[in-house]
Amino acid sequence: MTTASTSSARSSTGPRILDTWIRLLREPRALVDDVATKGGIPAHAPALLAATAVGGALLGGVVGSHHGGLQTLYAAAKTPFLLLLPPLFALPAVEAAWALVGTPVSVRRLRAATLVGMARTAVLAAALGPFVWLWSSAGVEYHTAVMGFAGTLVVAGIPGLLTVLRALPRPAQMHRFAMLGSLMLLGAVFAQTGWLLRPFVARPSAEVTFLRSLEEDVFSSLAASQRSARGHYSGWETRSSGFLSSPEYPTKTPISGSSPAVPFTPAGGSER
Amino acid sequence: MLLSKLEVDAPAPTAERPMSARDIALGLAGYIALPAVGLLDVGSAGVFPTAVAPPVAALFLSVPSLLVGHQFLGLHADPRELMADVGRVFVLGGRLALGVVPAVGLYAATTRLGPVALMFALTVIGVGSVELARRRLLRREALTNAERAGPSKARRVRMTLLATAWSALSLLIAVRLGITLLTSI
Repeated sequence: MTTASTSSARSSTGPRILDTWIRLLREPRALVDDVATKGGIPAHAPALLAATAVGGALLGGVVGSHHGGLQTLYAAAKTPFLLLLPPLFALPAVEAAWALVGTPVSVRRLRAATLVGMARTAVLAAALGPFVWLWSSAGVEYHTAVMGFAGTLVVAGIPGLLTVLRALPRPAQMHRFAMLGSLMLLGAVFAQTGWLLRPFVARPSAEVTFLRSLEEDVFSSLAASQRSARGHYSGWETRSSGFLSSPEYPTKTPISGSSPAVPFTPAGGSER
Repeated sequence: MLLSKLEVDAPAPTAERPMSARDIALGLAGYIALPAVGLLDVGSAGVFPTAVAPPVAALFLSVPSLLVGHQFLGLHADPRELMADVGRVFVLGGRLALGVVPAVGLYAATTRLGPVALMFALTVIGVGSVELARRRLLRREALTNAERAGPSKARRVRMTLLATAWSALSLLIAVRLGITLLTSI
């Protein structure tokens, strides 16, 4: 009797997970309004974070299955963080940018919009997962699989990003400056987070690792990929980067993915 | 282009919440924290003041010229209000710098792009802040004209030229100091 009444009270007062997920897809702006009310974040956050974790893990698992084995688990564990971490780095700047252009936005509303946007992206990514799996299971090449993964995230990410931006008040002045600046910052942080959490699609011949060491950055990697796409497989000299990394000798990473990284000795010199 | 229309949707400067000491402290902290984080991987403490200098010097060197020019041209807005407008944008720009610190810190911690991210952030914040300040100055003068003297095209042209020249001066000072920073890294 007591248990039944407690359960009934819980279902009538607290938002049910499935209801929240349906609203996430059908009426995201109304859901943001609900989450942004007082007490809305504690009430809705479990369902939204669960959607982010489950959706991200599903897509990650699909992507990791291109290599198979342990990589499937690793990618499934890491992909939710690919969605969760970038807002932590970018949201303070978005809030400050809106204040600068004269339309302050409350921190609570910004957090609500981000929670809903992240969860929406993850749910849509999970829905795209089976298509990605069918496509990659046909034996697509490593670089193509990476592009497919990135493309899936972009396709799923746009509705989530639009959810966030549409939930914020329209700045009264310099609207494009605030919007474009926020998008650029989110993009730069997202790209570097993805780079730090790699590999998601491991090279076929590479040893499976959960995370790679800190080396170079996403932009130099893109430049190297462009060179390889033009047929210049000269290799890519990587160095430890940033104040968190430990100094070490540079390595020469093959772009073609045929063999693991080998120690690199500068021409005419010897290893110190 | 120079005689750009004022945005009627923008909040009137008089309707804004006054800045608290906390707002000002956070704004100033941003101008210190951003270079400190962006240059973490550089390892030379001597570069730090050079990185703090561009926004601060651009403000303090250019505002006197703005005020003198404003009075010389016979414009109507209260100089204290003009200073308050520029100061407000400076503080809000500092808040934006503080907001960008985590993102710049991410790059400084994990790549060699910390100084590049710092320069990029300072450029975007600088250009955005100066343009915003220019618009506020134009709006302030237009509001004062509407209250006191009635609309005058000649005054509007003079104020537009003055605000644009001031914003160009501020940016040039910041660029000059930015070049010093680049050469010292």
